[in-house]
Amino acid sequence: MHDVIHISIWALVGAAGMVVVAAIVSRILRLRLEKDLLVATLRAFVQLMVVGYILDWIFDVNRWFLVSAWIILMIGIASYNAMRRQTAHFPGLLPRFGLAIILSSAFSMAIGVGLIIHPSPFWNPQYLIPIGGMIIGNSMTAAALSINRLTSEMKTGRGAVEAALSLGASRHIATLPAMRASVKAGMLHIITNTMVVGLVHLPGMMTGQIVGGVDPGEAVRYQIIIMYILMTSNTLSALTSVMLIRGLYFNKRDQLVIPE
Amino acid sequence: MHHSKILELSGVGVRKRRSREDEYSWILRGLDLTVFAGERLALIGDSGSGKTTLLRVLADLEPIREGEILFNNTPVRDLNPSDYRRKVGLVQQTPALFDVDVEYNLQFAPKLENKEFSREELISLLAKVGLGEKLLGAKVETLSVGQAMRVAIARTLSMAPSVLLMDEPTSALDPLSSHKILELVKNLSREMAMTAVLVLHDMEFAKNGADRVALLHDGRIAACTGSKEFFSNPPTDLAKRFAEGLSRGGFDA
Ligand SMILES: Nc1ncnc2c1ncn2[C@@H]1O[C@H](COP(=O)(O)OP(=O)(O)O)[C@@H](O)[C@H]1O
Ligand SMILES: [Mg+2]
Repeated sequence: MHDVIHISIWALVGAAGMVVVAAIVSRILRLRLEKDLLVATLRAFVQLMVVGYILDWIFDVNRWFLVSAWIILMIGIASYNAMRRQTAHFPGLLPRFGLAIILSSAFSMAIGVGLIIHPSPFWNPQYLIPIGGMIIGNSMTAAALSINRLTSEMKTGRGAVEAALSLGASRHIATLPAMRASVKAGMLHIITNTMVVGLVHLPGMMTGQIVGGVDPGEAVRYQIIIMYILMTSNTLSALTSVMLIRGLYFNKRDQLVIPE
Repeated sequence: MHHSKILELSGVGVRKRRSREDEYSWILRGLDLTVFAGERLALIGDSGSGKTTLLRVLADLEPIREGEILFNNTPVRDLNPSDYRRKVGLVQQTPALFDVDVEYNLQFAPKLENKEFSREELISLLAKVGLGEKLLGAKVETLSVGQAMRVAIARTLSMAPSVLLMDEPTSALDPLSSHKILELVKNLSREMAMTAVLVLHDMEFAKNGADRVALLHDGRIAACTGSKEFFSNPPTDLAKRFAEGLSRGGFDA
């Protein structure tokens, strides 16, 4: 990390000027997006500056409990976001998203960071925070996608689920096809991304490493590991969230009561 | 009717809402109905009167807010859902066949109990609903509407239920296939000594194919008598409207 150009506050203000182009387009086409653009611009600035200061501090102090606290905070925000992205809301979603994201990302961080990249100590924030963040973010997307799919399967496939119940099936057997479709929906997103990686766009982490002065050949190796880890964490996240949540659509008598 | 009561509903109420933001409204309220063992009961009523909801209540797919349902004198809520549903089988209005082949649909219920039909048993099950063995391996999306309805009936019969519930089994069929399906249901319930509750819009069949007729209105049973009497001497004005619909050649219920 030697030859990185320092970004001054004036460079940031200059970049914000780029947003003016978007604002002009919005004004000419009367898209009424000016306010949203302003809010997004300010939020990105404030959020990222705050995160930058906190991370600087965590990297400086360099203690395992601060790193853990940051990871836990990310998991909490990810679970909340997965819940907010649902088309149907019902009680019990948040803790189950939390558990699914914890299980899938803990497993993936342990194998991916602990065993494969193997920094010492394991919790070294330079590795665990960015890679953990990517794993958690992807687990969130997979969980949110698969549960949205599960809800729509329960709606459009209600007839088949109830036909199975009518034949004496338990809620678990009756939802097997819906479960498979939902886990698949959560997995497909990362598989598609992995197939085109490097061809269409350079992933964020690789870009960052290259700008940070790492040889592209080295950055690519990291990216390969990350993509493989993400395929696992996405799969686990989709699977566990579907397993934990599919029972919530039913009442105690195995009657399908959600979505209403 | 000298038969015993197989299903007895008292004061049954169901309320529903269209979304979590919506208000609840009562779909059924204070509904009393008795079904006798071995009878064919026709459920009739205007569209939206709650016929499908009542059938779903009987099939144990719809939660009830009030009232009680007895099955052979035992409260349904004390019975294990799977056990009850195996005895009271529902054929839905649009047959939701499982997305594999016909055989998979017919083996579904036995497999839940770790049993499997032999080829002979499958063929005789298909024969019961008037289908040939060639259809056994057919993918469900290749079936005609009438064939799909027959497979759905066979799928329910695979459990050998004591009560068969059917929701407008002929609503998607042309008159000739409708007639065949209704005759089939009539013969099956007779041969297998099966109780049947049929939601019907065909008044002709309600008159000739059912033992009793129950008229649903405003979420309750507005009239319930023997079918001959219902059509020759309608007990209420509303019943009269339905009975007269018959002489006008049927109307859309
Ligand atoms: N989820 C729901 N929320 C509110 N009302 C409903 C819901 N589902 C059905 N209904 C209403 O319940 C009434 C009875 O419906 P249904 O049992 O399908 O009647 P039928 O089969 O006699 O046509 C109708 O007025 C229908 O609009
Ligand atoms: Mg109906």
